[in-house]
Amino acid sequence: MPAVSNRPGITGTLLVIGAVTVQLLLEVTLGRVFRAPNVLALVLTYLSINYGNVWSIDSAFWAGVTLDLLLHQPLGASSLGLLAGLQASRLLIAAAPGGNRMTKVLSGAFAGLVYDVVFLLAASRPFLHGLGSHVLPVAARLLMTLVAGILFISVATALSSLRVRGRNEAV
Amino acid sequence: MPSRKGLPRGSGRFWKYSLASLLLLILGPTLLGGVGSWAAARFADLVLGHNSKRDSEELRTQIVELMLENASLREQAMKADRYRLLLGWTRVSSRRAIAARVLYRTEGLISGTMVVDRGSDDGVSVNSICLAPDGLVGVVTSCGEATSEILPLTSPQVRVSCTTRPSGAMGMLQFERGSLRIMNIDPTLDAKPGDEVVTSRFGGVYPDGLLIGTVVSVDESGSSLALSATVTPAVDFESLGEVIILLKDSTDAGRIE
Repeated sequence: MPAVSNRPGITGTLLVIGAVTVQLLLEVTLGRVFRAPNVLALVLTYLSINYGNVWSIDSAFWAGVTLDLLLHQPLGASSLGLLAGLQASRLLIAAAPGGNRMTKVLSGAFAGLVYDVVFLLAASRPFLHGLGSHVLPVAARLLMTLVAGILFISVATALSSLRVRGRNEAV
Repeated sequence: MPSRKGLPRGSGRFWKYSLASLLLLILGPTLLGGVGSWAAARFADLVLGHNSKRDSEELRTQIVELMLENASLREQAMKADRYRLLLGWTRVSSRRAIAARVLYRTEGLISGTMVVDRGSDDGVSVNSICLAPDGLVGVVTSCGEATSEILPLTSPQVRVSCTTRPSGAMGMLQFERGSLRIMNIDPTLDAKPGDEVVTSRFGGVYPDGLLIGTVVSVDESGSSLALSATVTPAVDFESLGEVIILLKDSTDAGRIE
């Protein structure tokens, strides 16, 4: 699916702010080390597909910085992870042109997976020494992200069909 | 969607932000710390005004002054503790007492004398008793107007009538063969190591009950039937700096001047 380079406006901004807030609340309540689904990666992938890379890259950077500051994580680790994840998901989508909704969910989950690995490497001390037993929760988080993505897509599809049916009935 | 240079759109931006993230990752803690300190300093200037440098100089001076004052007070507190201990001795006596400082010693520690900074002007006279917080020190042998000479127990010329507690053995304490010894102890009285040695009431010069030391061993004294005992003095004569002198006058009990 080719990326569309239009500006999302206030809706996109609100979407990113909402995603950061939800991610923050999830991480704080469920535990910060990969216990919550990566909602932010899903939303940024969604933005990348629908509004183009430029806006989603900006969002990924600033959302990552905000999340790092709020969660007292090493500054720049989340933004680097989100940028890498976004790039990876873009490559995945490019490799599977004309993909369906499941491809979007999978690319979002893949972005989350890449984000987690990059985050582990970047936030670890000494630098780049994070791959160890910490990798294990990443798989569980990947599953949670997939489930969240499927739920998100299902709800969005249901709402969309309801809207289309309502419009048809009105016509 | 390709950009003008043939790269995918957003590629340059991606690398730019990735580099920024890496820089943040490396310099983040320093940046946050430095910016935080700078912001805090500016905020303090804004709120407290520009006098902070002058105030800090004044505060530094005050700290130095207070440190000096604190050191002086500590020294005075130590002296007060010592005088309080000395005063404790005089409470059991009905004699007037004055505190004195040891100025110097003459002719070595064992056979020599100690010179203190109190003399006849202060009421000190020959045969006045000299004490320390730990026990009996000696007796005043000569007296100037402002200084006095004290003969310590460790001098061979000193004889003290003493008794042991709790055994009650009596004898004459003197310095002999390099140690303090009680001579002529009645063998029927069971003096033993660990007994306290105090002045007896039969001496005439020394008031009774002043601690002298502790018995460390009891020996048979040569040909006579009487026993002798070796005594460790209670006072550490080497580190003696301040003493108290019991005056002969019996007014103002327990007062320290």
